[in-house]
Amino acid sequence: MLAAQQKLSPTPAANVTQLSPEAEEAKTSKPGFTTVEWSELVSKVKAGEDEGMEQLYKLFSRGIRYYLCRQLGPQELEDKVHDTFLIVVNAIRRGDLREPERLMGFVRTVVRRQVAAYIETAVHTRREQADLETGITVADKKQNPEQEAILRQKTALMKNVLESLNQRDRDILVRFYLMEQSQEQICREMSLTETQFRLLKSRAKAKFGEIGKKKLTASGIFSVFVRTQAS
Amino acid sequence: MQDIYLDHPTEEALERFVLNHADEKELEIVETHILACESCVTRLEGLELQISATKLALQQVRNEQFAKQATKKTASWKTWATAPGLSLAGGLAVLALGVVLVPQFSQKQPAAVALSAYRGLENLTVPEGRPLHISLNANDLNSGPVAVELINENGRKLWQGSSNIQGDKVEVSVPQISERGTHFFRLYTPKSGQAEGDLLREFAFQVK
Repeated sequence: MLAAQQKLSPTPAANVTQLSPEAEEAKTSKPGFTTVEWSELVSKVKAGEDEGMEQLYKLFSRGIRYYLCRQLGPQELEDKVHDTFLIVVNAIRRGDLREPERLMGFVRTVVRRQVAAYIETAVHTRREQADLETGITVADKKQNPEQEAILRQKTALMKNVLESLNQRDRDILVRFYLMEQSQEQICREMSLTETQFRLLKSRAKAKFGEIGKKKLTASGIFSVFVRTQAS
Repeated sequence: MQDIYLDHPTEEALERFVLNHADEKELEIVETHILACESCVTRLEGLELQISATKLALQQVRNEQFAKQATKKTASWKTWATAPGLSLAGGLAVLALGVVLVPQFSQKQPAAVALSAYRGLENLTVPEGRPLHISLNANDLNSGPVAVELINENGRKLWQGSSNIQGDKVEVSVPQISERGTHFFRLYTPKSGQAEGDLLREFAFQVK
């Protein structure tokens, strides 16, 4: 079992080669969870060592933050991350986690329970406050200005890509992304093989990257970016 | 056991996760993995942005297509709304009306005629050259089918048909009579085999 824990990096599957360049870079530049020795980490946390706590926080905080934000929105996100982290730490200290190599699954269970609890509280609060006529509170889904600008730029690039596709290819993307039809349904109804479907999507992505690169080159940003990378 | 969570999910698995298309098993694997994998969270964030941009762009392209189609439809009407276009359309409309209405006006309406007297006692006049709708008096006759003949004053048969005695009347529609003078309608019992029917009644009238 220890051997399994000490395995430094997962065997790269064939499909891992589909990683985007940014992801590849992120993967190689940061060691990530694959170098972790779970039993050692759990022991440190159990013993209340700061190093263990820090390692645990570094390891899971980003993922937990992402997961909670996706499920519950950005409101009071830091508090929720902190609460979840505390629950995990306390559970480990109490000895609730008997098999350290199951830490990842354990964290997932805690996070999911937390999400369920937050939703339940929200539902309960809404029900309790319904008579107060305070109006409906809606989560603010608006992105920050920087994110909005990025999204606008990407949308414009994607529009260029889509306009260069033929009507049938565009229909396939409309079905998949807008109408949220499953890949199987689209393939069945449009007489496509799975490979054709995958090819179309990857072609669109490749074009997207190509046009994006051209635009960046034309605006001079790309050369600056390359220089920064080189230095 | 832990190994399945250590492998980085494929781009497609992440896409299914973002679009909520992953099945339970895949969801468990991807969720567990991303909780501890910073690089995959980065990938996911990029993918989410990409998918949002794709959705927005697809929506925009679609909207533009619909707008173009709508403009085309409007434009096709506008091209007709010019002076020559309207003149042509008006001309065609008049022509169509003419085609429909002219035959109706030229077609003569049948004249309704009621004949109630016997030969020699009637001097009714019917118009020449118009179809006739004749109502013949059948008082005291038994109900049933009858044969009807139209003959001129020289005894020449101009038309023959059949009808039924209903109540006290026999009604027949007869084509236009093109010669003036005295004419007769005769009612017979229907023919049985080779034998001629019996004459039941005769009505005289003038065509002018």
